[in-house]
Amino acid sequence: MARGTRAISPPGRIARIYRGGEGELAWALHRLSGLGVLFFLFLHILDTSLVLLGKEAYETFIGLYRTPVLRVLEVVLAMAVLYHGGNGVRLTIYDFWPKLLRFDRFVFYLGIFLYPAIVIPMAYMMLRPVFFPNLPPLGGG
Amino acid sequence: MEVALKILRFNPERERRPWWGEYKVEADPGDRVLDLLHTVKWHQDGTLTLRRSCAHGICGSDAMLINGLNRLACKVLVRDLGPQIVVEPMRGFRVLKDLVVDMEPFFAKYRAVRPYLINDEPEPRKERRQSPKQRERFEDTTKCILCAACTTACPSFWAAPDFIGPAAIVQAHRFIFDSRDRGAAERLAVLNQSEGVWSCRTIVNCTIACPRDIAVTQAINEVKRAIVTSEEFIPKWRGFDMQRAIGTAFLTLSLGMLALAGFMTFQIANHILQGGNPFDQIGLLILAPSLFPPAILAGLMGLYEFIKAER
Repeated sequence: MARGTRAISPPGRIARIYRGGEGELAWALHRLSGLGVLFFLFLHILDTSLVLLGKEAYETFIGLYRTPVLRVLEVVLAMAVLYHGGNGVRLTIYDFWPKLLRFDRFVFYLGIFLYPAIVIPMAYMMLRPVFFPNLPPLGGG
Repeated sequence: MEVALKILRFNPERERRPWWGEYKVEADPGDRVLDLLHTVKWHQDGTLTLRRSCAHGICGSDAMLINGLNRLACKVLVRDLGPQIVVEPMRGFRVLKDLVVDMEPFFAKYRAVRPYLINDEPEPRKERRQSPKQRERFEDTTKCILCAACTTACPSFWAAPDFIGPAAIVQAHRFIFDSRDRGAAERLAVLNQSEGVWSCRTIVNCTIACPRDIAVTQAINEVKRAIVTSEEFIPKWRGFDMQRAIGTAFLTLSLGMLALAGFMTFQIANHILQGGNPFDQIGLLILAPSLFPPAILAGLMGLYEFIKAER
């Protein structure tokens, strides 16, 4: 029998991702952002509980949050919270208004459009004092 | 055109791991993937095993993972895929051989939602009548052919094989919203479990995978809604009345907002009486009046809930 073929090594796992729609991406990011926020929550419990060891220990650790690297990570945290919350609101709206799922892709891309509109000004406001400390603070106050 | 066809082969009785079978097949752009699989089986390698019955998109036997997406092999054309085609069995089921998977768990879940008319009322003389509008309510979910493309496209199902899956929920939907059926409570009880509709994360892969264009995720969310709004599933504790509780919550909210707005008004008035400029307290000046409309709205909603409860 003509096989006309050769057996190759077992298929890799990563190359076989299911090609779902936008919803699958939204779900994966939802999980990722949720885990990220959860990780920060553990860290936050840790840093707050350091107050039990005295003022010095607490303030040393809190001081880390004021370093530029962690200020940038703070923006990432805010982005994760915003995404997780926004996507959650989207899914909750579907639960109460199932017909909207007919326009699922439109709603997703509406979110994609709205997200940077919120995130970019937010990042600017949060990072301005880090990178441009000589500028007067926002709001004139 | 020549198509490079890659098929994930596996014979669990003889082989320890799946392997890729690679085949070169001469095909017309109008050919279906099923035709290619036939060509391989009939002319190149007779050991290739697959399911197909009607071969025209009605029986739902030949759902498989084609180029990373669940489709019916008999409905997808070569020209829509290009010269490289990868075929795998559906995910989440045990592979029996090559593209044939064990569908028994799938049908067990199908049976669990009682996919038949339940009605113990006395038989009418002629027929159970139904208006076109009542029929339209579940029209979409009557189209299901039980191919399992939706269930095996679902990440929640891959992660938790106990999840009842989109297909069974679609089948339940078809009867829950049928005006002639009286079994909705039984079916909703089955679906109102963590392995029921609540494992759904609204990923929408099922709707995309459905070869019959059923709005699967919409159907699932309609069932979720039916559960949380049906009489049987609204909690009724001793002496507890959901409607009055909602009414009370709204009235409390309304009174709270009114009190807050009243306090702010008092602050502003006090400031003016002491000879101050009202615009010093611009925040209060904006907040106080803007609290009144929602307070009144919440109050009216609370009263409405009470009036509805009285009827």
